[in-house]
Amino acid sequence: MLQYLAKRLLLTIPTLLAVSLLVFLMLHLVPGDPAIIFFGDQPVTPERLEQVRRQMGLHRPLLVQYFDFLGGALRGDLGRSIHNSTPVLEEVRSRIGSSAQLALAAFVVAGGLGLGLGLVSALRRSTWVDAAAMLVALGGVSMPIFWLAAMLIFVFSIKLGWFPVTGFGGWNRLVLPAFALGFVSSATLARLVRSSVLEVLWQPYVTTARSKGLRETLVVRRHVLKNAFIAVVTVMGLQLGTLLSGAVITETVFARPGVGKLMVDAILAKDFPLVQGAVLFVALVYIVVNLVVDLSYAYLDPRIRFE
Amino acid sequence: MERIRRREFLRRAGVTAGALAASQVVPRFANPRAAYAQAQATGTLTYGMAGGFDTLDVTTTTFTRVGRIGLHIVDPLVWSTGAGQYAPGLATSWTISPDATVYTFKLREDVKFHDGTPFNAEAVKVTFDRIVDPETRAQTAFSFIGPYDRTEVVDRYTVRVRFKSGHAAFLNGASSPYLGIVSPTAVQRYGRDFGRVVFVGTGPFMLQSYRTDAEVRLIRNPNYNWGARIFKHEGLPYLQNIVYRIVPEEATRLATLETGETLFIEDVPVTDYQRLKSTRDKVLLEIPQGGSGWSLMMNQTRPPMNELPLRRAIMHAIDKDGLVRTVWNSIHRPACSPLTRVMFGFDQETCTKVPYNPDQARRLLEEAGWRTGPDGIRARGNERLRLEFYLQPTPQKNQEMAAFVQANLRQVGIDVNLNVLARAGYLDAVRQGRHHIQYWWDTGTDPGQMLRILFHSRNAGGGTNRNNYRNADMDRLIEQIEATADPARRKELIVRAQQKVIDEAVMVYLTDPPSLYAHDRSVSGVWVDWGGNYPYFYDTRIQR
Repeated sequence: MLQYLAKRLLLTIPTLLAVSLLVFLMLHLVPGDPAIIFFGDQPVTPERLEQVRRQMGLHRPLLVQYFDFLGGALRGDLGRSIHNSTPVLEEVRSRIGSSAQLALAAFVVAGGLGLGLGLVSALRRSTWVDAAAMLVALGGVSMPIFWLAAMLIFVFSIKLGWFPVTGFGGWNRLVLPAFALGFVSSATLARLVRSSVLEVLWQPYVTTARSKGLRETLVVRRHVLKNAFIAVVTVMGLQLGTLLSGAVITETVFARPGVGKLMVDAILAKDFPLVQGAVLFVALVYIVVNLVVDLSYAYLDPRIRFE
Repeated sequence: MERIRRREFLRRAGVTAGALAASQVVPRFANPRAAYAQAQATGTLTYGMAGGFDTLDVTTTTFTRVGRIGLHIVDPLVWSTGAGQYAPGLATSWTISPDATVYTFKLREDVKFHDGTPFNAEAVKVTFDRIVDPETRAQTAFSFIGPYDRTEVVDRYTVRVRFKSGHAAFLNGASSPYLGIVSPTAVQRYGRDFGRVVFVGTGPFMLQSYRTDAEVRLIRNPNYNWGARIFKHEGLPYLQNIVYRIVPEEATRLATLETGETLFIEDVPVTDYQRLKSTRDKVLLEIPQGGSGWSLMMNQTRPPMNELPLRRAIMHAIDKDGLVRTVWNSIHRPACSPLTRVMFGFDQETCTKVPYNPDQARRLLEEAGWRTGPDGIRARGNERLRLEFYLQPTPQKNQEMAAFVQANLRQVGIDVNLNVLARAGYLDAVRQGRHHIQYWWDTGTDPGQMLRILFHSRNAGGGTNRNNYRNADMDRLIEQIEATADPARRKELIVRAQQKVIDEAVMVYLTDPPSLYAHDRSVSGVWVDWGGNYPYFYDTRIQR
């Protein structure tokens, strides 16, 4: 087990290297000169443009730029934003708290709703309960998140006055964004849980368990859920990564500073060091989450051994 | 045994989490009345700002929003009270040489920066020298300071600013937040962190905290006793705190005003204009914007845009009244010239020069040899009359206006292809001159600077003059405007410049927008500069 863990952790290094190289190349392939973006519609002479380009370090050969970044990253220095000179690490760090808070809360919503709806609909298959649960799931899949967010604000903030509109600082500011973000994920999860549970529900070992006279709740919890959960846990893990880094719309609508929004803004401004820093962070999150998911397989299915 | 422990653990965890959630959520339900009472009791004005920005340092930023915040932290040398009118700020009096190359300011002697550094001529020199230092990478301030040569400290409270050529617009620049005076001690002490972590001026409010992309908190300067005479009171500001909260989504921003989370918002959505106007407990501030308004630049280096009859036909073919009604709910006004109506030297006659007349547009195109084809699009020989319109996807109105212009031009036989590109690709394309048409919109209060940005040949070929219009007479005219301090003569030159660019059909002027702000009725005493850009809360109170 420990050996497996060490191997997986070592594998993160080439993965991160590959991610950083890919992002670096992609950023340089798409059109747009960061110095021109920096000035935007401000009047600027060609000399001044060149001067700023040099200050941004863009005059150096691409390879030199990349290895400089890499060298810095190894020392724990991700460089500074080329637009406002803020250390990248500080920019990312200042948003991690808010992003993590939102992602975890949304994960709880998604997990709770998704598992609940999926399970109920599978266990009450072909009844009105099943239809209703799947209708809610269908709503979640089809509903654009910005619309749901706007409706939540309208009903719960403006009309009922229950929760503040904009969201950071205080759990009460987390409820609406977490629900908006989590509800959409919960729909996918609910459908997956339903089909996975249905698949397991008629397996011979479940029938055997029932025939031994075990209570239905015990059958479901011990024999159905555990076996149905391998696929579900994989998807949940991936969703946690998405919730952490891909919550741009939710962050924008509820005015929460977050890693997703930081990354999009940095890409639009072609702020190379900032994009690289943020992407490395997100990649790291995905790697860790995937590792945790893989380790959880052993708990769910004792036949799986990491050797 | 183990199973029981786990179940018990989960139960307890569930109960704890539930209790925690309930205790946190239930007592904090949003309540506008409570929010107003709290705002009044603490003297805190919360401002809903439409987006983030690069730095808090007004001398290096490119964002108007930073100017809005910064005007509370720094004091300008002078205040602008109307087009071409100035009142004392940190400078008590000033003289200008006839050729507008030398400005001498007498400074107040009772002013201190937030960090205790005394304000004097040296501080002015440090601020201005720093703006032109390439290391600073100043942007807006750099264009405001113009052909700056040097600053001389005449005595402790007298300063002389010299320019390499006439710079009649310097007082306008000096009245903006961007040339506000910053603490030389703090600049030296904090280096790259100045504006990022700390920002120190002499203004009525001091920076308390700054959370990037989220919130800026200002606190009252307890020593402030040098407010300008143009305001209603002297001494300390009434407010204790101003909190600028960044709320990019416009519907959310409006919602925060309705729930009391903010008491003042900027960039009110046009779609909510009427509703807000008729709401009793909200006040809508509508200030005609200074600057160049919304317009279209026509790139003369990309054929067939180099042809005057085509450009003139386009000017005649666009129904500005219709555009204002359809896209802007009649809140904007149809534009006449490259300067909006409130600008110094605006020429009223330009409003009748190029009326909407699609028949005239068709005639001009026929005369130029463009014949209507079977699909309604004109062609000359093998050349189809198709124009490339480059625009950015946001704001949403960009696309709505483009669709309107496209429909108008199609009626006279011009095919317009819309190229909607994200900022990086867009700037690349238009700076390289790949466009026939692109938008322009700019706010500002100096006509000379506006005309230079749009029409001076030094800004053509990749700069801001994306008409790529090069005309030596126009260059001279702009330089004369910039070097003429005499208001009557200056006005005459500005009128001539406007008429010239309309005669030569350089741009299409679409709409003159207002700046739209809204606040709760409990807020009073908001001052906004005449250009509509900087709401200022020195005189502001919150009283329900």
